[in-house]
Amino acid sequence: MADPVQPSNIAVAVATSALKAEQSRMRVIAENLANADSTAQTAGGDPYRRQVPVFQPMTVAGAKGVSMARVVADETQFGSEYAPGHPAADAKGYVKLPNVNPMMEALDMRNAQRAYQANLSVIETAAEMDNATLSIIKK
Amino acid sequence: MVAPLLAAKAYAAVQEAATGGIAGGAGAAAGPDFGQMVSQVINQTVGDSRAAEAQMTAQVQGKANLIDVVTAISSAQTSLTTMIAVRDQMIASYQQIMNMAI
Repeated sequence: MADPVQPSNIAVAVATSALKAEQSRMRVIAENLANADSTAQTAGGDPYRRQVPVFQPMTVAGAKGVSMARVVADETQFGSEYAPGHPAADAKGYVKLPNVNPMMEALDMRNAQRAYQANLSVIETAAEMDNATLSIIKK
Repeated sequence: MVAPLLAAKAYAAVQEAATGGIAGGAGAAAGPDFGQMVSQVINQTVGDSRAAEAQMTAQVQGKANLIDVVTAISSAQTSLTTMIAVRDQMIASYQQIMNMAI
């Protein structure tokens, strides 16, 4: 229902687009971490494939904001583990494991957090600047 | 060097418009008048507050993004403080005129 309000301050509008992009990135990281152990449903099938977010510039209020363009699959090799009793094991008894490295995801998550905080600081500073300008006519 | 010159020109233009307005009656004033500007600012403030309220309602219903809610509220807050500052300034000038010894 309620359409998102376009902030009147352009810097805030740009930072808002970045916040949303980082939120989407965080979603992808959460998916990767959640599925770090998801194997195939069928014997010998492919397990969960790691997803990578791709950002692109997007015009926001006449300025260059950012958005998540798409999510692409990480084509690196799957790991494998010998587990003949597993339902997803192939004829030789090997199970393919997702190509998700939790350590890498943790670093990505930290990156997303830092970027989010940086953009929040932009919004805060822009609001402070607006208030400082107003203080000229405030007594 | 340029800015003070521009300011002086703008001041001269305003003075001209003001004297023209007094001499020629209400119809002679050029450009948007002050009352119009104030009502525009007030309308914008009301609009921003309404939008912020709509976002808050949507958030409660689980339909809005937290970021949208926060930016809408912050935007409404800024417009409200701007409006209040302008109003205070306006009332102060009227009071100064009212207190003038005649």
